[in-house]
Amino acid sequence: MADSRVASRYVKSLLGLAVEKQALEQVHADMELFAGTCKAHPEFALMLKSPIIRHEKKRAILNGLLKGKVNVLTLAFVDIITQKNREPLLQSISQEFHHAYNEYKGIEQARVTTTIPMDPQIRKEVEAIVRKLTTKSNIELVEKVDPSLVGGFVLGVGDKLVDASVKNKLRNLKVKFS
Amino acid sequence: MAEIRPEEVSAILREQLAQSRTAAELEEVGTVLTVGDGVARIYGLTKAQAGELLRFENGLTALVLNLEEDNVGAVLFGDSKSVREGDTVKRTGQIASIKVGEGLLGRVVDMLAAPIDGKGPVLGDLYEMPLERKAPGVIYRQPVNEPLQTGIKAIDSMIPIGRGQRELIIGDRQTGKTAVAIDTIINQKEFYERGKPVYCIYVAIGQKASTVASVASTLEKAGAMPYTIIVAANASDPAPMQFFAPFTGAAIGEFFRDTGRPALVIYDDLSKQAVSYREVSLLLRRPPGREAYPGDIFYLHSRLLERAAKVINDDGVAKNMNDLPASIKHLVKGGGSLTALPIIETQANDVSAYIPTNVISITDGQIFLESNLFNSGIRPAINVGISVSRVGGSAQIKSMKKVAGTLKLDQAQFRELEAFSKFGSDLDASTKLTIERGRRNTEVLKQPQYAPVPVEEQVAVILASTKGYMDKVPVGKVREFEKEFIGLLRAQHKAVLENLRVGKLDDADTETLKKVAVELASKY
Repeated sequence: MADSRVASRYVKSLLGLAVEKQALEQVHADMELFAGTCKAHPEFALMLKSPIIRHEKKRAILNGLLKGKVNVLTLAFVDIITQKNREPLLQSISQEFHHAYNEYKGIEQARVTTTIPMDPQIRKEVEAIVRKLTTKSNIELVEKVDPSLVGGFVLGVGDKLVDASVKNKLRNLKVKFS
Repeated sequence: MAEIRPEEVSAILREQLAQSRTAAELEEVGTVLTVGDGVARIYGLTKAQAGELLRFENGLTALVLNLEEDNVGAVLFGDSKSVREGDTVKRTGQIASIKVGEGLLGRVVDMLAAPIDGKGPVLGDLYEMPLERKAPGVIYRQPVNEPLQTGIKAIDSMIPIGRGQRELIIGDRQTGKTAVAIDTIINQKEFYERGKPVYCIYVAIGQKASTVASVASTLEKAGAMPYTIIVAANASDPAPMQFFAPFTGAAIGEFFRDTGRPALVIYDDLSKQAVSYREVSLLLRRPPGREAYPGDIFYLHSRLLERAAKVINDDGVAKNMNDLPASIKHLVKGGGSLTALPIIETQANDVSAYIPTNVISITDGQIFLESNLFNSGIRPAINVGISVSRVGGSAQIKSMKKVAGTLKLDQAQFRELEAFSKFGSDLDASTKLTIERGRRNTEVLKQPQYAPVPVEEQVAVILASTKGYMDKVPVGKVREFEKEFIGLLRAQHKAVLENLRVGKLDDADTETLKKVAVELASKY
């Protein structure tokens, strides 16, 4: 997260420009694609961060990968980043962009962890809880399944956390009785 | 005999289980970005306040020190090895505080006031006291007017300390700084036995555990532990615990101060505290200043030492004191005091280094200890020429004030003339007398370690010396004379000593002392 400050600077200008050129959705999709690629292929992310591979080489790779598949604005942005030798930042920029996009669109991201995948009925109930916790109109649910919770759920919205898992309750009891 | 039935036990457990809240609460959390060297950087916690306590999943606590644009810097009160990157951290909404009560007396505790002497938990009522607390304001204080007897002749006579004063003890290593402090604690036994104890808190910062143990055993042997608390942050403890230990000591002292009782706190030593604060500050990436200390190192010491105070002797006013913790509000009484004896270690007698000058300027006087005096056999090695007490004079008892005035003057003249005496014998009679008397005074002011002298005996001996009653006694026999003189007074003139103790020194007493001293001196 040390480079999040630098990344947020780049993201701010990219977001502003994208809004101006009315290409926000496309750029967002591109950034999501990039973040997804980095996550799916760790060696790709490692390559970007590697100091051994020369910048021109990385630039050529990125160009070859992205040309024709992404918006011109995104391509130009990636180009500028590589020119400034900041490719290691690209992954955190793509993550940071998602946050900035949510902020701009008024979307609240909520993280839900449950023991089994949620059905639509429960999902609706969780959304209702999230709505109480936030002032923003749109909600994006990030779901995660973790059987080690035993039961219940953990819901995180921004800095706030509701831990209604059995695991947490057991832990609290243990602290209380020890 | 009462029987214990297992059904009862399970019933109690069941009751407790039923009471535990099961409803999920909304918590504010952050995630650990980096952790190491006792410092954690935490992402999130946007509402956290500076000075707030945080809690990790495993129960470890941390304190917020830095609030930055995108993260929070916190120092850990424990081992940083048990915290990992990505762990969640909860806000507690509380500021750092400790639990203080009478039960702490006689115990050795760590920076969080948890006992570390293996004598079980702290018993009795405990009250929550904040570590960081504003010093009492102007209207809740009064001038220093009661003496704090150290039992050290050179200090009580020439550099008197009052209750509520802050007197710095400064000197190189191995000059007896801690000894002065320990003697002072031991001397308070007299007041403890009389039922008016001065509660003593000895804060050991960054010292070897063996040194702390030997101090504890010394106090134990001298019977000083029942009114003493030792706060120890040993050299192996994390730096944040070391630099917060004096605040723990101050918080304990404030409990006694605000409940109308006198307390004495010794910070041994603040130069080590400054070093550990510098370590934490640099790890938190605060900009370094002179000698790499952070900019607020002066504030660190000044806010700590400001908490030493003599509280106004008026319960009504004292009850409205600023920043009183809610837990002790119903116990507040006026007239209490907190005396601070900070210790600073200098390097090669350099008092113009950064930390020494800072602390000298904050305190109400300083006691200089010098290694060359120590080596030439003058122990305690106090340099009375440059040691001062800016407010203690008004707290001295009358009898002592009378004899100490002459002593100070005599010693100043003696120091001026001492250099001449090395050239030979052709000195006039009055110069010779001054030098001879100065030598005897110096001899009188020497005293062994862990042997504090009650104030009435100090007055008697100093009177005998300054009035010239022991001029006939050879310099080498002065100590012997002193011993015998005090023995005689104790055996035959108890009333005179008692008068001196309460501050009276009339002509009849002086006459008695003269008679005894001259008679005894003629035997030498």
